[in-house]
Parts: sequence; structure tokens; C-alpha cells
Amino acid sequence: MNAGRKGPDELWSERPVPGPGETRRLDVGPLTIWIRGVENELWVASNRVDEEEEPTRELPEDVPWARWALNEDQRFIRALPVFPDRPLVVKPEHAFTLMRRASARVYMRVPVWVRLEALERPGGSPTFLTEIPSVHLSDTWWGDFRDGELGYWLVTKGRRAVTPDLFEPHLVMAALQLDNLSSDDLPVEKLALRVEHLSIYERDGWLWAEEVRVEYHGEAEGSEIHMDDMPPAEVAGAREISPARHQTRSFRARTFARLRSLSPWGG
Amino acid sequence: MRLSTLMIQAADSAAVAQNFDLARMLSDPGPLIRAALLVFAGIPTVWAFASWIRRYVTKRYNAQRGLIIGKLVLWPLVLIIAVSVLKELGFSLAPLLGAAGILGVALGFASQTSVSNIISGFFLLGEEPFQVGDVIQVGDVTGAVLTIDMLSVKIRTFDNKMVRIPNESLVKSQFTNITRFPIRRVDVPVGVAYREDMGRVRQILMEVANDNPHVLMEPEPMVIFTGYADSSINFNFAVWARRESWLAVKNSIAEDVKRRFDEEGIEIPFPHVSLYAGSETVPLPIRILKETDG
Repeated sequence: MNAGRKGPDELWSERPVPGPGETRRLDVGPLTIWIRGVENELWVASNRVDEEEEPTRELPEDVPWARWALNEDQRFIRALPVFPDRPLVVKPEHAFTLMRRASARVYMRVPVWVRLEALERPGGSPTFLTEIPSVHLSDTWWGDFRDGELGYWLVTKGRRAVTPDLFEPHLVMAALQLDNLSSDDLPVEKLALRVEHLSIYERDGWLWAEEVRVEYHGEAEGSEIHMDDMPPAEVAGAREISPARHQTRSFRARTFARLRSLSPWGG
Repeated sequence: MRLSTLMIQAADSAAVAQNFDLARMLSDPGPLIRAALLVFAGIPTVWAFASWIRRYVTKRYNAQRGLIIGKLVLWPLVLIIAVSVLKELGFSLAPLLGAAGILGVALGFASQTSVSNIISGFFLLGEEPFQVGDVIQVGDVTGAVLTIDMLSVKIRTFDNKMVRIPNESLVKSQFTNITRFPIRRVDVPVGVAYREDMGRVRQILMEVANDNPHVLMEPEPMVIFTGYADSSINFNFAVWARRESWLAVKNSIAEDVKRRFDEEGIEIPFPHVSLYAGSETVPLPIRILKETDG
């Protein structure tokens, strides 16, 4: 499937380090990043507005700057979209039930983090500078009171089809193939999307996550998660622009949970 | 006095019973060499073996189990070496053990507390109610566990003092491990004036929780009605946070509630005090005199 329209050109590309006194701007959805050259230093500032608001793109006066003194060979910087560093606990706006032995393909939009790297030459080995989330996601807990993991909370529509208007520069489209192989119906109220294991692909300027298949085997057996190390069929041939934080092909993990499975009182 | 006399007699009888003969030992140095080998090669070997066991168990399980298993391996092996050395030197063990028994009784009386602490230390290491780095509360002392030693647990309080707590006290008394579990609940008591809409207050508090970046979305925040008090309607506003963020949430959520209530015009009532000082506060009598001419 083609997104139908082109995304922003050269957003995720290498560019020369700004000269002294020069400031460049990078617009990634609600996030604006300013990159400034000061002597041999690189200064980076960012500002993010709520998704409902229109970004002003004006450099706030009191914005805090992060600084790096580059070595003289580091003449290029690169912006890369990366997934958040923890699993996403995704709550579909409208929960649905996946009947026994049924399959569903669900599309979710995941906000990226912008990773900045310094390079000596285009295509050279990068040096990590920083990562800036394009959207602030709240923390949440995935597990029980004694054991579990921290994740980010994401509410999404959980669409069954992709339309061109869904694509935005700061959002990755994740296609999730859910297969209920158990003999029980599976209520999909909340699921853990382990984005740290996913690569990002780009086609026509828009971002897609690596193909993910989740096979549900039952309450006790849990789910098997497979990453196919290739773009989803909708954008076959898309190029990988950002590798996964953790390279894994498949693993077994708890993926589905009921809403309010943890009592707020703690009991 | 009688006990020490008894000990000396026992030691004498052990010396009498032994086959230790220095002249014979010098003429045939074999046992001496074997004893030296046991000491200088055996002890380091045993120590290295116990260290390896400790490291292995630490890697496989945790530091505390490594410590306890390491000690359980080390000390019996050291004892075996010590017995072997004595045997090589011609000491007869039977009277020595008798003397050791008497000595043990004497030492037992003298070091009752220490032995109790050592045994309690093993219980603590085995039961693992806390680990090094956990924050525990014992009585009125709260701090992070620095070490779990044979006699005591040392904790560092948050005002940077070191507190030594005997193991026996910890085994006997109740204490709280504050950081055992990864998430904690923060309770904020909130009181609002009687004229406020309880539903609106509840909704605002939930919004405050959702806007705070440290508050977890799940377990979800909760507002519990706790009672109609003398001058306020009281709630318990409970939110969840990671144990690392607990303090940040406790502080920030209280500020957020106050700020938001101020913005929304929701009154947080507080008791008003009128000072009364008895007859001292009676108004002074004032008499107006009419000024008369001349």
C-alpha cells in the first residue's frame, strides 16, 4: 500500500553542522528542534506543543540549550526517527474481541523520538548526541504489583485500514498481525507493543514499523511475538532508516491484559 | 575462677595426651612439611574455591545468597584443614575437643549476644527480607541498607548518618522494606469546602493526576471519599508512581492540586482562630465629655 502522498523530504537525512552563529530548524510534528553552531560547539534546543495546538515554530526566549563540543572532524549531523525506549501499553479507543482461531490486522500510529547523531562524513559511523520525544507519553505499569515493567501509555484508535491522511512526520505506522490461536475469545482492551525491538522503514517520506506478528496461545501460555525483519506487506521494498534498539527475531511475553487489571487501591 | 581452673586442667590433660614431640618432628620433618603445606596451600585454595562459589551464586541468584553460601563453604573447609594440621602435628583431638567444649561453654556465656546476632544474620541472609540498597524503616530510623554483616546491618539515613542495627533486633522486631516492590502508592489527603460539587472535585483531581508526568496511568489514580469532617469534605487522592519517583510525585502532586484548586476557585477550608484573652479583651470604656466654655 502506498501512502498516496509524499512525506517531508530530507527530514531524516545528514546535514552539515551549522556554522558559527547559524541556526537551523527541524520540524517534526508538534516538536521543533533548533540546531545552532557556536564556535566549535553544537547547541540544540527543542520545544513541543500539545498535539491539539498549532506549533508556533518560534524560538522561545527561555528555552534551555544542550551543548556539545564537537571535534573538528565531526562536520555532519543526522536526525533519525527512533521508537521510544520502553514498551508501549496501547489502549484501543474502542476495545474489541478477537474470537478464537481468528486473526486481525490492526494499524497503530506511534510517535517517534528524534535521535541526533554527529558524523565525520555522510554515511560514516555516528556518535550519539541526544534523543528528543516528539510527543510526551505518560508512564504506566505493565505487570502486577510485585513484578512488571515500566512502559509508555498510548491511546490509539487501532484502525483496521490505512488511509493517506493518517500519516504525519512524527508518527510511525505499526501494522500488527494478531492471531488468536487459543480456544478462548481474546478481549483486546490493552496490549503491550514492544517497540524497542522494531526497526523503522521509510517510503515516500512516511514511516512504517517492522512487520510484527503476535500469536496468542492462551491465558497461561501467553503470546509469541515475531518480528519479521522486513517492512510490512503494505510497503514492501521500503528502506530501513532506523534499526531496532534491541535486535530480536521472536520471544514470548505477556502481551494482552484487561483494563483495570490492577486495582487502584493496591489490593 | 573455678571455670578458668577447669580450663587450665583440661588444657593440661590435652597436652599430656598428645603425641607432639618437637625433637622427633625435627628429625623427621615430613608431618611438619605436610602441616605447612596444608596451611600455606590449603587455606588459599579453600579461600579461592569459596570465592568462586560465592561469585557463581551471586551471578546466578544474588549477592546475599552468594555471601551465605560462600561462608557455608569456607568455614567448614577451614575447620577441616585446621583439624588436619593439628593431627599432622601429633595432637590428639579427643582431649582437645573436650577442652574446646569447656571453652565453648565459657565463650557461649560470654558471647551470647554475638552468637545470637550471627545466627540472626544467617536468618536474614536466608530469608532475604531486604537487600543491599533497599530502603528500610526500623522504628524511627529510615535509610538505605549499606551492608548486611554477620553481627549487624548498617544503614545510611537520608541525612547521611550511619546506623548500626544488630541482626537480632531485626529478626525479633517489625520493620518495613519501603522499596521492595517497583511501584508505590502516594496518598494525598484533600479537604474541600461543603459548598463544592464533589463530582467536579473528583474530575479535577483525576485531571491533575493525568497531567502529572510522574504519575502512572495504571494502576489508575483514585479519589476516595473519607468523610464529612467538621469544616470540610475529605477525600483521599491516591496515585501510583515508580518507587524512584515516589518523592517527586508526593511533592509535585500536592502542588498541582493546590494550583488547580486555586485556578478553579475550589476552596480548601482551614480552621480560623479567634484569640480571646478574657477580661483583657473587653473594649475600653470611652466617655465623651462636652467641652464647656470658660
